[in-house]
Amino acid sequence: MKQRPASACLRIVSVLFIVGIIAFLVFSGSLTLLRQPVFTSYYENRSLEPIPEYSLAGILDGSYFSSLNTYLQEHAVGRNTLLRWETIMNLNILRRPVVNDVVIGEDVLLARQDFWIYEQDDLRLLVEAAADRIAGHARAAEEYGGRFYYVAVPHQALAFSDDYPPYMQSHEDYYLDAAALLADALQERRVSFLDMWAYFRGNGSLREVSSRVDNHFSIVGALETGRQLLERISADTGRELHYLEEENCHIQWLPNHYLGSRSRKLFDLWPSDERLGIVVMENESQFTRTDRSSRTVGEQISSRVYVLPSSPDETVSYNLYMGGDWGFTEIATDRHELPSILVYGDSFTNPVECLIWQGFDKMYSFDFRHYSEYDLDELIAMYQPEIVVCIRDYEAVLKADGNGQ
Amino acid sequence: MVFSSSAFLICFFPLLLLCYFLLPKRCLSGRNVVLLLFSLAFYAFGGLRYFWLLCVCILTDYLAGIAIDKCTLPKHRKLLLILCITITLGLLGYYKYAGFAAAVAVSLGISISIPEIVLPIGISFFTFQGLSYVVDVYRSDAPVQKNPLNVALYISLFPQLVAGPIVRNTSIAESLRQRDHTLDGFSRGLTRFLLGLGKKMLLANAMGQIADSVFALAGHPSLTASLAWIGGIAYTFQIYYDFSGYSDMAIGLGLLFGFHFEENFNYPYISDSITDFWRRWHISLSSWFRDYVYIPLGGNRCSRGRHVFNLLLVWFLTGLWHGANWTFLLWGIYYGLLLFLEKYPLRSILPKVPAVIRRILTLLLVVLGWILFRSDSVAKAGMYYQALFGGSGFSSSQTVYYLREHSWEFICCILAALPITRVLEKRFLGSGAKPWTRTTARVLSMAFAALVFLLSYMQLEYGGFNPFIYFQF
Repeated sequence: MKQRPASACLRIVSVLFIVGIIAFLVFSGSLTLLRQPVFTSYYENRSLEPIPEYSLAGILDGSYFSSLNTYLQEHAVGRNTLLRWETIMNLNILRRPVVNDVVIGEDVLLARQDFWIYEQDDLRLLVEAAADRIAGHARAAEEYGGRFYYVAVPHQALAFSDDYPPYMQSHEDYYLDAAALLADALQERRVSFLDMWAYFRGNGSLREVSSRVDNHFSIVGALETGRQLLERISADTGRELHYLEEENCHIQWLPNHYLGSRSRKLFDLWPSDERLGIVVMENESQFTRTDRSSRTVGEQISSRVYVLPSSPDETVSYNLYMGGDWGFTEIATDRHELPSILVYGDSFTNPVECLIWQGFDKMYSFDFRHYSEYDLDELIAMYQPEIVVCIRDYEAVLKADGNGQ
Repeated sequence: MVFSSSAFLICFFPLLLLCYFLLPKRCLSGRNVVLLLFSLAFYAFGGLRYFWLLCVCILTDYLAGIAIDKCTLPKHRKLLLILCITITLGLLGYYKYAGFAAAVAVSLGISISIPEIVLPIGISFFTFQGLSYVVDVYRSDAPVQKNPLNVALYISLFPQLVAGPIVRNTSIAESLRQRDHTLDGFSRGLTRFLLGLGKKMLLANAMGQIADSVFALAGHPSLTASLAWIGGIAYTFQIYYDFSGYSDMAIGLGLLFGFHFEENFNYPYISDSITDFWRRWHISLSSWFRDYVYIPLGGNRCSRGRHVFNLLLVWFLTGLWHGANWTFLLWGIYYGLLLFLEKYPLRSILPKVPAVIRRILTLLLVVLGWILFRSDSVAKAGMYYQALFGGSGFSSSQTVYYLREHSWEFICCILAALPITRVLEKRFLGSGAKPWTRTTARVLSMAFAALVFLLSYMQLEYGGFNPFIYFQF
C-alpha cells in the first residue's frame, strides 16, 4: 500500500531524530573514551577528576563507578563548549542576576555571597581569637627586637558593596563591625595595625583600587598599600623607605587582555577593558629569587617578580604578580646593610611583594596554604627578620586556617 | 547508575542499544538476555556489595512462584506465600528499618546498639515488584514464569529497577515472550525519555537547590514566612519533577525495547481532593497498596470502624515505605486522616465547594504534607511550620533572590504541572486531527525533545548537583 505523504514525512523525521540523538551519544561516548585525558580546566581553574584507580573495595561499595562517572562527566568531549553555551544562555537570554556564582553588575562582576545574619557576640569571639593569634606572632618577632605589622585590605565585595542588587548581601555591615572590633583588639594587644579599608574609604578611592573582574585589588591598591606600609615602617624604624613615592616609580599598564577570577568563571564572555599594571621603579636593584611550593618539586630560581606576557595578544591574569601563590619565596638583593622582611598572607600579598622587596636585603615570603614545613613562629625565630608583615583581606582576616594560623 | 549521568547517557545506553538491536528481531530470547545482563550491570554500578540481595530476591520470587504453582493444597500454597513474604520483607525490614527500630528502642530506654546499615539502592521497589508477582501467582491472577530468566528480567529490568514505577507482572508477562519494536514506538519512547530527562535536569535540580538551602534554615531566625513558602513550593516542584521525570524516563526506555509500562503520574497538582491526588500521584505504589494490603484487609466493604482502621493502617505503611523516620510515618498518617475526613465527615460538604477552591485547598494540604516529608526530623518540621506562619517575620531578600534567579524555572514548573500537553495531544494528535496536523505535531514534539535534550546535556556537564530523591527508597 502506498505510504501517504504525511506518514512518510513522519517516518523520515523520526529516523532523523533517532539517528541524531543516538549518534550524538555514540560519538560523545567514543570520543570521550578515546581522547587524550585533559588534566586541568582552564576556565574552572582546577584539576579535573583523574581516571579512577581500580580497587576491590571501590567495586564493592560503588565508589569506583561513582568516580568513573565523574571522570566521564568532566572529560566529556565538547564540555567546555557546552559550558560556554550554558553561560551565554544564562547571561544573554535568561539574564539571570547571578551566573556561575558571579553577580552580574552594571560594570562590575562580584562574588555571590551566602545569605546569613551574624550575632555580635559570636563576632566578638572570633575577633578576640584572631587578635590573640596575631598578637602571638607579634610577640615572637619582638623577642629579638623585630617589628610586626598587620595589614587588612578590602576585598572586592567591600569596594563595590553598593553594586549588589538590593535583595543580595555584601555583608558590609558585618565587616565594618569586624574592622572596628579588630582595631580595638589589636590596639589592646599592642599590635601595629594598618587598616587599608578605612584608608581607602577615607580618601574616597575604594572603587579605584579594586578590580572589577577579579576578587583582588588592582595595582593601584597594591601600590598604595605598599606606600602606607613603608611609611609606617619608616616612621617606626627611622629608615628611609620612600622608594614607592610618585617621583620614584610609575605604573605601566599592560595592553594585554586581563582575565580576572570573576570573568574566568564566565568563560571570558563578559566585556571588560580593565588592564593589569606593573610598577616600574626609577632605580631597580638586582636580585635573585628562589621559590618552593607544596605544588612543585624542588626549587625554582628566577630573577623576576612580574611574569610578563610574551606578546600583547596574550591574555594575562593575576598570576602576573610573583607568578601566583608560592609556599616560600626568598628574594635576596645582597645589600647586607639593609634589614630583612618576612611577609605572609594570601594572594593579596603578591602585587605588594613585587614592590616592597626593593628596600630590604632579603624578603622572605610565605603562603601557609602551600607551605607546611615550619609554622610561622618557628620561621620568625629561624630568620629573625627585622620586619614581619601579614597582609590579608577582610574576607579572610578572622579565619584561623592557612595564613590565619 | 542514574539515567541523568554521563556514564548512562554516553556509555551504557548506546552500548545497550547496539548489543540489543544487533540481534535479529526473531531472537527475542537473546534480546531478553542482553537486557537482563545490562540490567544487572546497571544495578552493580551502584556497588557489588548488595548485588547478592537482588539475586536472592529474584531467586526467592522465582522458586516461590514455581512452588506455589505446583502446589495443590491451599494450606501449603499459603504457607509458601507467607514464607516468601517473610524472606522478602525480612530483608527489606532489616536493611531499611533495623537502624530506625533500634533508635526507637534506645529512646524508650532499651539498651541496644544502633546498627549502621547502608540502604541498598532500589530495595523498596524490587522487593515490592517481586512480591506482587508471587501474590499474583498465588491468586492465579498471573501465569507462573517457568523460565527463571523471565523472572529475573521482570524484577531487574533496569528502567524501573531502582525508582519504579512498580510494574505488575501481568502488564509485561506477555511482552517478555513477544513484543513489537516499531519506529513509531522507538521515537515516542525516545521523546518521552528526553522530556523526562529535561524535567529532572532543568526543573527538579533547580528547585532542589532552593529547597535544600531553605530547609537547612529550619529553626534559624532567617527563615521568614516568605522564604519558608518558597522553600515548600520549591520542594513540591522538586519532588514532582524528580520523580515524574524519572518515571517518564523509565516509561520511555521501556517503549524503546517494546515494553508498555503503566503511567505513574497524572498531573497530581490539579487534584480537587486528596482522594483524587492519590489517584494521580505515584499511581503504581498506591495501586500496589490498594491491591495487596487494603483490599485483602477488607477495603471499604466492612464496618465503618474496620474501614477506618484499614485506611489508617495502609497509610501508616505507605509512610513507612517511604523511609525509616518519624516524619514519613506521620506524613502517611496525615494522609490517612485527610482521607478519613473526606470519606466521612466532609463527604457531603466537599462537592458543594467550588472546584477552584477545592483544588487550591488540596494543593495547600499537599504542600504542607511535603514539608513534613522533607524535614530531617519532626522537631525541624515543627520549626518550619512555625516559620511558615510568620514565626520569624514575613519578608526576606533571599526570597526575592530565589524568585529572580530561578524565575524561568518557576514559570516552567507551573506550566508543566498543568495538563497543557494533554490538551494539545487531544487537539493535534487525536483521531479527529488531520494527518498533516498529526505529523506536524509529532515533528514539533521531537524537535522540542531534541532541544530539551541539548539543554539537559549542557546542564549535566555544568552541574554537580544531581541527587535523586527516591534513591533513598
